[in-house]
Amino acid sequence: MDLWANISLGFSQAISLQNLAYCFIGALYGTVIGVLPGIGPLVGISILLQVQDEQDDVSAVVMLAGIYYGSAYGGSTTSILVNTPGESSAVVTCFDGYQMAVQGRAKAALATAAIGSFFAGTLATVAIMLLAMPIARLGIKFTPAEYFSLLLLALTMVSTLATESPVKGLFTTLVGLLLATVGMDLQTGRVRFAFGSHWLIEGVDFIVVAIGLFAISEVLVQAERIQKYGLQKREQISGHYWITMQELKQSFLPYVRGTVIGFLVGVLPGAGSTPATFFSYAVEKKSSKHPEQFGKGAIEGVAGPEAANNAANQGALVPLLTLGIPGSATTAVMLGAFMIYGIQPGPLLFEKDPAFVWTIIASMYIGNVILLILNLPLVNVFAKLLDLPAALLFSMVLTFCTMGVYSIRFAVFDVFLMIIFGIVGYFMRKHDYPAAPLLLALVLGEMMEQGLRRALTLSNGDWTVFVTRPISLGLLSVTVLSMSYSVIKYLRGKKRQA
Amino acid sequence: MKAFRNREYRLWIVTALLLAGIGMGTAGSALAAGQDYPGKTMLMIAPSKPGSGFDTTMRAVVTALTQEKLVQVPMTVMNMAGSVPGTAQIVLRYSNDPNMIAVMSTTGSLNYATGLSPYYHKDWRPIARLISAYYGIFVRQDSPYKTLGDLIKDLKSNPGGTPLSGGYSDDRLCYGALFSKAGIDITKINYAAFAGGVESAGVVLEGSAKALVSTIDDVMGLLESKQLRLLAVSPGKRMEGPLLKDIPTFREAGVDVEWDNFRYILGGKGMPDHAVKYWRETLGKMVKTPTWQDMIKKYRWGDSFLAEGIDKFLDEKQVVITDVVKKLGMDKKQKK
Amino acid sequence: MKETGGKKSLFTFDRIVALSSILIALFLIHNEYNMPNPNIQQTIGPSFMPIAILVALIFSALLILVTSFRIIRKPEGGEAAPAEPPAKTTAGQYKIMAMVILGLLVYAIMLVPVGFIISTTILILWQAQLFQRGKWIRNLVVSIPFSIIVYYLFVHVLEVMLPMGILPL
Repeated sequence: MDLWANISLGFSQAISLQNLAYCFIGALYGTVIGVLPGIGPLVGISILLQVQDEQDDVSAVVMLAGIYYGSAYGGSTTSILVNTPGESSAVVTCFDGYQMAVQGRAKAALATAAIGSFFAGTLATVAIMLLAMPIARLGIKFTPAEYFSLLLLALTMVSTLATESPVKGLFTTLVGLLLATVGMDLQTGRVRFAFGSHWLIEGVDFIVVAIGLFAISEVLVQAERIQKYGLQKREQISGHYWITMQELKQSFLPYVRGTVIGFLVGVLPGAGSTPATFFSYAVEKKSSKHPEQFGKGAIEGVAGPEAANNAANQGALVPLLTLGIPGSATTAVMLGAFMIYGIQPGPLLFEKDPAFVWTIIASMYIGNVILLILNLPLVNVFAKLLDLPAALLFSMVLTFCTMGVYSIRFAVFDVFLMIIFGIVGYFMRKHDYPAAPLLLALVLGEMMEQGLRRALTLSNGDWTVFVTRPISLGLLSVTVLSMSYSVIKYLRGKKRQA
Repeated sequence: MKAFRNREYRLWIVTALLLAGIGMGTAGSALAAGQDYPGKTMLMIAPSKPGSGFDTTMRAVVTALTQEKLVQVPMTVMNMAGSVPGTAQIVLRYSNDPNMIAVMSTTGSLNYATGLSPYYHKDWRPIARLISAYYGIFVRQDSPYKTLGDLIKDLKSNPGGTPLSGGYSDDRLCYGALFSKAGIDITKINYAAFAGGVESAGVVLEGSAKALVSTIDDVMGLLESKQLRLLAVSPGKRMEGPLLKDIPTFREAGVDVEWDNFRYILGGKGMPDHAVKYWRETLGKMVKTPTWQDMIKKYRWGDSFLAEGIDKFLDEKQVVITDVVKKLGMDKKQKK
Repeated sequence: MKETGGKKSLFTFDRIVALSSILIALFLIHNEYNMPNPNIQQTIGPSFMPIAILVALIFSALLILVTSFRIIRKPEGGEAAPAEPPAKTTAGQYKIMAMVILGLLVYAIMLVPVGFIISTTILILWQAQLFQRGKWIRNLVVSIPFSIIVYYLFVHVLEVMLPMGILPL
């Protein structure tokens, strides 16, 4: 079979001692980058652009790919251990991952994240191998109208993220949407809500808000607790329990669903892996038999989003390899890297340079295996970090948060913003204002508005474009159905209570 | 007594060290005014995200300078995302730092013209233009438009029904310059702005937008695979390469416009003349090296090195860009 | 200080949030409405979404206001009372949290002029004192190498420039 010939060609290229070494270095480096809050694969890959003369092309690309998915593995670690998202796509993992750690199940959470990442990474690689072209063609069908409808559907997930207090959930969603409008509007170049600050022209960075709301407010909560109960009463969050068979079983279906969702969302240019993790989380909560456990340490809430994150990362490579259209900021850097090696991604790449494509694909399999081997033992190492004295651990968390935020664009302004959101986050927690809807709205808001306005520009102001295009119509119908379902459910629940 | 002598002894050492330090400091500054420049680490600011055009350019410069051993000091690329906050930092924080250089493009002139940024090329010290990217007007392979003239005819007769797509920033300038010169009221055209050229290619491939304005290097893959077709290109003379040599320029297609997006290196406003001279010479040597030439070929950038006349060039460009921005309806004095 | 049915404090947190966000929203709508818009062909301009969101925000704030009154009116519903009433944050707790924030603010201000290594060492010592008095030696032994290692990790491995400030490194 042709496929076998191709993939064995790929493996024969990728499996050399040198390439394996580069893959390992890339994976390790990526893991470090992923663990550090605010420092993402963007940084790692652009550094690689400078050192390219030392390696041959294949090794460099193998290492690049290693960094790329290594960071996707590492992002969840600090989410789980200290409620500090390492990447924006690891924010969702904070919801249940950290709660698992609080219950002493840190190792189980880390393990399910690693295994889920491996599962999704491998499965998504198979999908790239078999379906890259047809899926890329489907991706092209997604015009701004479809994006708007999809994001509207995504936003209705807020109802699943804020079951405790829907009214406050609605409020924080709107605050998130409002934050998303800050900065320059792409369509007209007009600046909104910047109040003369040149930093705000670029908008409010998602990761700054997320680190403030989760990590900084967590340190405040810990300080409050320690002041009252003393150090001994600090929640014993170091985990002793390894993942159980039962937990693995619980994780399996979320892995599968997360992979499918993640891959499909990842394929859409511009969507990225962060929305994919939110989608997966919402789907897990909706389909769960015990939705009330979500946010309190449900392993499905870690397994699904982690799988979705990795699958989305792989999915983003599809438009890059097949059309030369980068699906995310990181794949845009990869495009630059490819060009430096004289490779032009695009529809002809599979024909013109099969050795290259198949080597990348083979190295994805290898990289995922390496990362699994690397990450499972690391679970123990990372869990040990929790044995550090609380006083030091939290100061270090503060340092890493500050550095991560500062290094985004070397702006102390962003650090102040982070501190403000830390204080806001503390009060939100105290008074049951859910942070998740705010973050979801912040990540989707701009895309949604731009989608709406681009669609109307392209249709010359014709609003029917959202219902005359079949995919958009389908998405909107699902939105209406799911919203009316939620409303009916909510009203029924009210009646029962009354 | 002993303790006292001990203290005295320490005092002497401290004084001696201090004096030595001052001596070395003055010697150092004396050298810095002359041949020892740069002397310490160079900070290379790319005012945008990693992977962006600015970042790629800066890293290419660092790679070439390092590999060709033209600069001996370490060079660190620093990404300060956002052209507006980036240039503001360059002006506010690094104006007097001779060890900082940065990269800018037409974006700088655009931001000033739209009022987004209060700073422009007179607030820093332009050193040398390095590269230019050229634009093209692209349509889908099966599009009815055979020439730029066909597209312009439709834009004139039916501006609403002929939507275009392209990047939100520099790309808009080329679009504005071209179609306003062609006699179209560009404020009536539907232009869907995306993050960049490649990102806006999707809606053209799908068919929602009729044509795409993008730098050619951005969408080369789609051109090679014959998914997109190129109607006309922006430079003054025809471009090279099998895919590009038969494509008419804007001028040949009947619109008297020439356009490019150039990237140039700049220093702080207070950069001393000897440092400017050093960088002009070094970069002048760099652009001739095989490493640089190989790199710009791979990135498909046009070599457009210009050092001495750059201030005048930027002055003229600013006038042109301000005019285009006015025609686009984006200038700062617009009322609703 | 004790909360008794909420009668004592009419201005609960929720109500303050709701009222102030209504005021802020009104101000922002006014601000956005008077913004000059570029003359670009647009079906809905750059002000549409922000104003729509702000109007919705006012409604949701009103909703919060309404629900906040309703909950108080029926203190004894059939529902199970919350497992443990949220403990009132004491003055001492507020003080320590304020100190954490203060430490962070000072850190942010010091970072660039003083440099990463010194500021980080000071930050860690400061925060560690807040969490646990004493143990200076241990904290010093940890914080100094930690700052240096992180500095080298960022600057030399990740090539992220951290400010070195006054230290001649």
